[in-house]
This record gives sequence, C-alpha cells and structure tokens, in this order.
Amino acid sequence: MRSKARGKWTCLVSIVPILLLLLAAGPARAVLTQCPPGATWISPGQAGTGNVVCMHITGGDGFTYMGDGYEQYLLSFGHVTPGVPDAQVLANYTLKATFPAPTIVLKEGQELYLTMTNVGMTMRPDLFDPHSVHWHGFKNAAPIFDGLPEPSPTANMGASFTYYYKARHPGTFFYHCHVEAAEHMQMGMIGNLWVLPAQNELPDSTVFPNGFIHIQGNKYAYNDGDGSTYYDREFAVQLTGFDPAFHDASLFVQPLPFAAMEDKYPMINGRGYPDTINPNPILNRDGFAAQPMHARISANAGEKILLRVSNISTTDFFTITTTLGVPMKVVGNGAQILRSPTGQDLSYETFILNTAGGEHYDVILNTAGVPQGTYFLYTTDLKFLSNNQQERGGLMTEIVIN
Amino acid sequence: MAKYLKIEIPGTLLAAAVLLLMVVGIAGNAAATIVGETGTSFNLVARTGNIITSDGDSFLMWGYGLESGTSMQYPGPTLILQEGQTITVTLKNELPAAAGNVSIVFPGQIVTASGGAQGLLTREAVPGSANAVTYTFVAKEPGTYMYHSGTRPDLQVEMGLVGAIIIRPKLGAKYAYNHANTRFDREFLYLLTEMDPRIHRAIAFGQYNLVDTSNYFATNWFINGRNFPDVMQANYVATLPNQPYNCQPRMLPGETVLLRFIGGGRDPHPMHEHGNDFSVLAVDGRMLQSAPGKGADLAWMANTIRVLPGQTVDVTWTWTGAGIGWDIYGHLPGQQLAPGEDPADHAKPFPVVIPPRDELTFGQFYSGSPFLGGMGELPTGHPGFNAYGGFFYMWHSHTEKELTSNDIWPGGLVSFMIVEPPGTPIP
Amino acid sequence: MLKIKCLVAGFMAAALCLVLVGTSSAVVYNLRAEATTVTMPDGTVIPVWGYALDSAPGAGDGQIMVPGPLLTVPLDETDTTLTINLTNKLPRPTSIDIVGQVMTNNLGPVWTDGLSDSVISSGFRPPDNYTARMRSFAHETSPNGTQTYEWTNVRPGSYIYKSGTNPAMQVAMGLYGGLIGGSRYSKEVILFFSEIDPVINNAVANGNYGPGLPVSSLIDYHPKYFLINGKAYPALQPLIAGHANQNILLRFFNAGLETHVPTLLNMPHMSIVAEDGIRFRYPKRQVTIELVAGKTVDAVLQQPHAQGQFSLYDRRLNLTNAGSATPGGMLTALQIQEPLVLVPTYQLLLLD
Ligand SMILES: [Cu+2]
Ligand SMILES: [Cu+2]
Repeated sequence: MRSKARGKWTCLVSIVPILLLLLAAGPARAVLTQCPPGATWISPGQAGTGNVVCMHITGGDGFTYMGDGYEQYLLSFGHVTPGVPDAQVLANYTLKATFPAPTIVLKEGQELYLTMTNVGMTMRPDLFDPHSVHWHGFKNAAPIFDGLPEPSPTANMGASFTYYYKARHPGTFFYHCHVEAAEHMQMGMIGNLWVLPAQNELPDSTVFPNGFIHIQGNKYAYNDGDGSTYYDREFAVQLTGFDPAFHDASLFVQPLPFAAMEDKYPMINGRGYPDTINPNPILNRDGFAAQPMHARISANAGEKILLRVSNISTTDFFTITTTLGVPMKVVGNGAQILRSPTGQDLSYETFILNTAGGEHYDVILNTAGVPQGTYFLYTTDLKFLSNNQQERGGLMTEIVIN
Repeated sequence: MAKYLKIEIPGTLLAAAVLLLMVVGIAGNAAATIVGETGTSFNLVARTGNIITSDGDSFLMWGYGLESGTSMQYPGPTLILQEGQTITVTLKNELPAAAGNVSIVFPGQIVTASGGAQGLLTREAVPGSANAVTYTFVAKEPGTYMYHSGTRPDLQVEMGLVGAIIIRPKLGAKYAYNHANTRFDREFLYLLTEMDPRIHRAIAFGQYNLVDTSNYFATNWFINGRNFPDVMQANYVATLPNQPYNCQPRMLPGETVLLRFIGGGRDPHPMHEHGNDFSVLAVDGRMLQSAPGKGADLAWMANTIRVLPGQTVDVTWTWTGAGIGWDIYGHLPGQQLAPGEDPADHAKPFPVVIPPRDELTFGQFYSGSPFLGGMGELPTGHPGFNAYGGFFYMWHSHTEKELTSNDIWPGGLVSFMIVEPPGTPIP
Repeated sequence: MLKIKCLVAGFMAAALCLVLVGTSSAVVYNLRAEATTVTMPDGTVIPVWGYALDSAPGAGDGQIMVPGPLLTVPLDETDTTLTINLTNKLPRPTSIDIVGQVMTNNLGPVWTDGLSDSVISSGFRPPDNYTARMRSFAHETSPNGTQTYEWTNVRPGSYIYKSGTNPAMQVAMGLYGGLIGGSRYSKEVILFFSEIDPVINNAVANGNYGPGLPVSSLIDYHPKYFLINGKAYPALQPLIAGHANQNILLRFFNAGLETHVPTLLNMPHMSIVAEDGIRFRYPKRQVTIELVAGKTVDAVLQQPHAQGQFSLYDRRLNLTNAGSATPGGMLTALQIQEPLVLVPTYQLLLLD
C-alpha cells in the first residue's frame, strides 16, 4: 500500500471499521446444494417448468481471450451440471468460470434456490475471498439474500450458500458478486438474469382491452396488457469492460490499481468485435468454453427483436446504436415496464441509447421494412471500438436480417 | 483486494475503532432530515481549508463558509429556502490572491448580481476586498438545486466551491413539490462530487502552473463532502470540522423517503439503490408532469439513476418487504403481525438452511439473524454495528471503481440505508 | 426546373446559395473530404480532416471546414431525398454514415481480412469467416475517387453525418457535420460540440497511426480541445439567438467521443423537445442536457425573459484549452436581442 501522512485519529475512525472481518477459517467446509423435493434443476439460458427450480453455480477463477488474442485472468461464476454430486464439485470445477456467468432464466412466480459454491481461486492460493450473488434490481429484497457482504454472511472457500428468490417481477435483470465489488466485478463476476412474464402463459386467443389478441407461444418482455412488449427473438447485449492492468495485477499478485482502473477491452457478452459475431464458444488455454456466449443478432425481416441490454462496467458509460435505420424502442428500464404510476406510457424511441453501470434496458427493434442485409450494433463512444490497442474492435456486433 | 491493508491493522485496534464508530456514528446519528442554513439572507465567504478522506489523507480545498464562522466547509452550506421568498447571498473572497476572483452561479435561478467585479459568467468577489458581491433571486419554484463557482469553474468547483439549495414548497415541509404525490416522511441529500488529488497537491504547493484540468482524472469520490464510511458519522462531528454533512438514511418499513441527488462535480454517476426500486419525481427542480397541476404523473421507476454534472434528481423510495416469500420477522404461526407486514407471507418459514458459522464471513452490519429486528450469535470480534437488527441496503455508485477513496477499497460513493424494525426510535 | 437552395453555413455565420439545375427532386450536395489544419486559441495548429461543399463533384472550390457544412433537406412535397456526392482527397478510403437515416443505395458494408487493408467482402460477411472486420458501414470512396450516397426518405429533425469508415479514427480527425431535415426554424441556434485529441490527429497526419504503429487505436483518446461549432473560447463569439419574446430553438449536436452537458445560465429551464430527430411525447424542462457521443438534442427557450448575453457552457467543465489557466473550451453565450414589437404567432411545431 502506498505510504501516506495520516493522523492518528483518522486511522482509528476512518480506516479500520470499514474492513470486512475475515474470521478464522475452520477446517469443516462442505459443498451443500439445497433444493426442495420435487423442484426442477435448470440450465443456463433455459427456463424450467414447475413452481420451484434450482441451480448450482460456482464462484471461482479462469481464463479468457480478448478480441486481440490477449489472455485475461478473471473471476466469475460457472455452472455445475445437474446431477454432479456435491462432493465432486470442488475437484471438478476449478478454473471453470465463464464470462459472462451462466444466464439464469426464470418464469414469473417461480421460486429459485440458487446455490453458489465458492471453489476458490486456483491461480491465487493466497486469496481467501468469499463470494456472493447479488440479484441486481430485485424488488423488496432482504439482506440475507441480497448478496451484500456487509449486512449478510458470504460463503468462504469450499463452502456453499443457497439464495432463495421468489421471482415476482418480470424483466431483464443481471446478477453479480458484491464482495469487494470494484474488484470482483471488474474481474468478471457478472451474469444475465431474466424473468419471463406471466402474460406469456395466457390462454390462446386471449383478447386484450385494446384488441390485441394473444396467440399461444407469444413472448412479451412485460405484463403489458396491450401487446406493446411483444417480441419474436431476444438477444443479450451485456456491456462490460476489462482493464488488463487490473487483471494482470490480480494474476501476478500485485497491488490492485483501483484508482487507475480504466476499461480497455469494451465487450458485448464477454467478447470484443469481431469475436462478438462468432457463433461458437471461445475456448480458453485449457480448451474450456470460457466465453460461451456470442452477440450475433439475427432475425427475419418484419420480426421484432428484443435486446436485453445491461451495462455492468465498473468504469464506463456506454452508448449503443444500430445501422438498421429503425429507432430503438425502449420499453423497460431497470426491469420495470416504462409506465408511470398513473398508467402513462413512458416508452420512448431513440437512435442512441446511453447506459450507465447498473442500468438495464429492454429495447425493441421492429425490423418491418428493413431490407435483407448485414447491419451493426455499436457504440457511438467511438473510442470503445477498440480491443485495447487494436482498432476496429470492441463494442460492436453484427445484425443479420434475412 | 485490499488484502495487504487488512493484514496491516491489528485486531484490537479494529475493535476499538468499531466501538468508537458506534458511539459517534450510527447510534448517535441525528440526521433524519437535511441540515443546513435557513432564512432569506446568507453571507458567505470563500476560504481555504482542509478536508479528511476515508483513507486517512488530507486535502487543501477552497470552499464557501458562513461569514459568521471562521472556516470553509465542503460542500458549502446547504441553503434551505422557502418558495416565493426573495433571497440575497453575499460573497467575500478570503482565498489567497493567486486563486484570483471567486463567484457563485445559481443554475436554474434568474439572478441579479451587483458589487465586486464583472467576470465571465457573473460578478465576482475580488481577493482581500471588503467589497462583497451580492446575488439576488426569487426562490420561484420549489425543488432541489445547486450553486457553484462561476469563476474558472473547471478549477474552482474541483477545489470545493459547490453547495446545495433546497426550495421548500408552499404546500408544506413534508412535500418536495406543490403536489400531494410528492409527500415524504424523511429526506436525504446526496450531493455527489469527485476529486483529482493532483490538482489539490499542486495548488497546496502553490504550483498553479502544474494544474491542467484537461487531464482531469478523478480518484476520490464524495457524498455531501465525505467518503464512505465517514458518511455514516453524525452531522457536524468534531473530527471532520470542515465536512459537516453526513449521509446516513434510516427509516421504518412502509415510510417514504425523498432522496435529493445533485451532480456537483464534473463526472456523471449512476446511483444504484439496493432493496427496492425508486420513483423519479423531478429533474432540475421540475416535476416530471404531463401538464401543470398533474403532479409527477410521468414519474418512472428504476434502481439506478444517472446523476449528471449540473443536474439534480429527486426520487422517492419505500420498502415493506412484501411478497418476499417468507416471514421477514421470523414469526411463528399464531404470532401477531408486525405493523405493515405482508399477511400473505406471515409465519412462512425461512426457506433455506444457513451454513455453519465457520463456513461464512459475517459482514460488519449483519445482526446474526436473517430477520428484521432479529439478533443472532455473532463471532468473537464482530463489531455488532447493527444495533436494532435493521436491514442495511447499500446505496452506491454502480461505476464500482468509485467505491474507493484514492486507491483504497472501500470508500467513495457508498452509503447504507437502514430499514429499522418497527418501533425503533429514529431521531 | 431551376431551384435555388440556400444553405446557411451556421458555423461560418454566412449564407451560401446553391443553384441546383435539373429535374431531380433530390437535394444534392457535393462534399469533398480533405486534410487541412485548424488553429486553436492557444496558437496550436492541428492537422484535421474535414468536409468542403463544392459546386460540382470534385470541383475543389469549397472550403474545408470542421465541422463540415450544415446540410439541409427541406422535406417539402418534392424534396425528401438527400444525395451526397463524396469526393475523397484523403489518403484513406472514406464514406458517409448518418445515425437515424436509412441510406437507400448502400452497396456496403465493407469487410477487410482481419485488420489488413485487403477488402474481402462487400454487402455480407464471408460465410464462416469470424475474423473479417468491418471497415465501412457503406460502400467506400477510394482516395481520389467520387461516390454517391443517397437517402430517399429523409426523416425530419437534427442529425449528424460523419465518416462511416473506420469511424473511431476518422470522426476523431474531424469528419462530421450537421444535417437538418425539414425547414429551418427562423429563430434557431446551431450548437455543434466536438473535441480534438492532438495525439491522434498528429499520429494520423504523420503516418504513425494504424496496426503496428505508435498509435493503433482510439482507446487512449484524451481530448485536449473542446469545441462548439469548431471553435473554443475565446475564439467562439456569442451566438445571435433571437429576440426576448420569441421561442428560440437550440439544436445541439455532439460529434465528440465524450459526453457533454450543455447548461444555460440565468434563463428559464429549457424545454427539451427531441433527441436523435425523434420528438418526445412530453417536453422535458431542464437546466442540463445529456449530450452523449453522436447524439442530437433539440431544445426550446420559451420567450426568454430579458435581452442580453446568457452563458452556455459544458457542465462537465471542459473549460480549458489544453490546460490553459485562462478560460477556454466549450463556453459561449446566447445573444438575446430586445423584444420584437410583434408577438410571433407560430407554435412549437418545430419538427413536424
Ligand atoms: Cu449491482
Ligand atoms: Cu450494489
């Protein structure tokens, strides 16, 4: 740590109490999933059936490649395949963190038992950080399941903590680790979390007050009551960035440069252009699919595309626009349908959407009238069209209209 | 990971500091409302002074202070005004001559300035001169506003010359605006600023020529002039003599709190509220309304709000815990409901087993129990900061690097709302 | 059919009239992209790339400007098409892109083999190729060539045209300008924000920009000069806005790579009526405007209460010229004239 002139009293009052207590590490640690009988195990990106679902994720470390080929050490969550015995998790799931973390999809009303097992950081045996899951934007949360390390317990290495959520509100959310958030989030512990609205389950041919007819299989972003959030295809647009100096300092056990932190690898869904358009998983040094998610958007002309946009950068705001020539219709913000308490329609159209860290938006692109072809989704913050020192990369992907 | 820092602090010191914070901090906190200066006439002086940051550092600042006092403060005095009154603010300049003139602009107000010398944006107070500048305006519309230096603001705002203005509506002190749907039970101020320490170091050493505000790069962030966790200490605490204002929101379940955000610096900050969504009522002191008289009928809900430099945003927030799926009070069947408790969740059992204590790290604000008002066994050495078993929610910038104070985690733009169990006395 | 189109080159505060001959219903602009230099208030000379308005494709008689000339498409019964003949006098290929407008003769996009200059596809990504990189959103104009770009259904409102080829580098070099669809409002002020990082411009001008060269991306872009209408204070003079009893339209454009927050002092709140050419359902009454990279915002000053000069500046406090101790950067004033005797009858139907 840097040396500083420091008054005695400020040391007492200011510095010390803010530290998290790191309590004596006992030997008895156990991986333990908690899933009620009759519940369904779910997989990343897929909603399960039934009222109660379970998922098991790890908190650990791993490696990824940036758009310019540079390898980056990271911390993130990984998915534990249902059926793997708890006793094998620590052995099987080291260095299996994915970026983004596994996508959690729920149906409105479902209860989720989410077990997070801290598998430790293989490359940093000197670190004993706990990890947590914070469901960002959860409404009426209680601290015990909010994942904040300050007012709750968090799982030490080798231990599990099971979070319980009743998914009462549909929308585009995300989750992240909240332990030493500036570090653990910069290092990559962020994933998508979407709740599908109950309106999707309405009986066929339900007629809404405005005359819109629900057909079985229709998908909506929210319980809009008028079909205004209907979409044909949905895509994640998770905006993040890595600061290589920070990641390298973490890997090489150097003091972490918090003050100097600047994202140099802006990414969509964990990749910089042109990796964003590669439909295949990107394998890391161990051949593991550490970057499983691409960002290539495709649709048939006339379809409505729902972009589930989130910005989880620890350093930057990012704008996005497209070359489709149709406005982005913003129907949701912060997993809330854009409607006032008095029912006023607050959805709006724009060509450039600004997003700040912690913001999440639902954007509908109506491709009616858009000619077949390849288009782009990119940031108008043009400096972020870079994979660090490499131009024509970064925060951009392609939209193919068939 | 500030691990090297953790190792450095002996445990006994930690416990002592913890007790100290308990005494002067949360337990003694008197801020259930926004403190500041009331009246129609304010005599301010720009002076130099030092502030203390949560990493134990100290910085030279320029700030506005009351002429009746002897020091500056960061931020300047919060001016609490009444709608319709004519307001007079005078300013004298006791900054060093090298700092040059100083002034005040009041964005969103229509101001008449007299005295002093004509500057670029407004009339300015000349160093050492007894001739004050006088600014006059009518507090025409209620809301949240700010004032700051209009003289070389890229340097002087950075140096600390910024403050909050609240104009209370005729409807009453518990309303943000002249409409019933802007009522609140408690209000809290979030004046956000940031600092590039290099500028303050250069000024402190008289090296004005080294200041290059085009290289601006903030590494320290403040709410009401303090970093976390200093924001949790009492208003006017003696140990922070030039940083009088805290940020320690507390409430009871079901209450409505008003948060007045002010972007006082030069960077935008996405302020994120744990626990529940807020409702955005107003921007720059104007209700979001479709037509006059409608109230904030265009209010929108979210959990993160971009607070832009120069902008103010008013939001309301409430929390009941309804619909959580288990009884947040840990009631057993047959027990009475707590005030405002969701009957649907009453006596529903806690859904999971919390692992044994030695598998967990307990945060300093954990009561040892998942229940509101509950208290559980805490490990030896735990500070027990949570006196009433309240629910703590971090309200913070989601540009997470701003959760540090000049390279030290945690610090910066962090505060904690405490939802206390029903019946807790909140001063 | 003979038409006379008047183009107000807002940045030059001078009017330029074009004579368009022929039966075409399109508004045709002959733009030339070329290198030049600009001089900052501190005397620093910076190489830039800009646009000029020529009388005919390649005529070379226009003056290179940054921002480029303000283009208008009146959107009357006949003129809904914008045609730009772009002549390229730069050492690199270039093109035009307008966020919010649909180019109707787009023969691109253009992909190169990785980061190389070798074009491997136009119109679509080569099948199963995941390493090709987009270089241009639209078909390119090669050095010394001329190409036509056409938008047949121009939307009303305020827009930015800019380079669609390697836009990070080319926009930072100065290839941008304003486009207004619909008739100009008689009492309007153009406020075009942009920045310059001389490190980038000098690297490009000196052949030091590109893969493997000293500057190879914009990631370390840190602007030192902050411009409104191409000028920094004090070179930027107060802008004549209108009279104290008129509604005045402020058209904000940001071709910079950073967010700016224009703020107006001592005035009633602005009514923000549109962004990116799209009208809001309800105007927003604010002192501050969030002007992110690439965005346009239209705001109305409703009958300013008084005449005089009213300061307008970037509340992000970019108020220096490369660190100068004296005021600089994004600072100007609106000059409001004495009230007109006749109260105007027009409404706020600015963009319909
Ligand atoms: Cu979050
Ligand atoms: Cu948080």
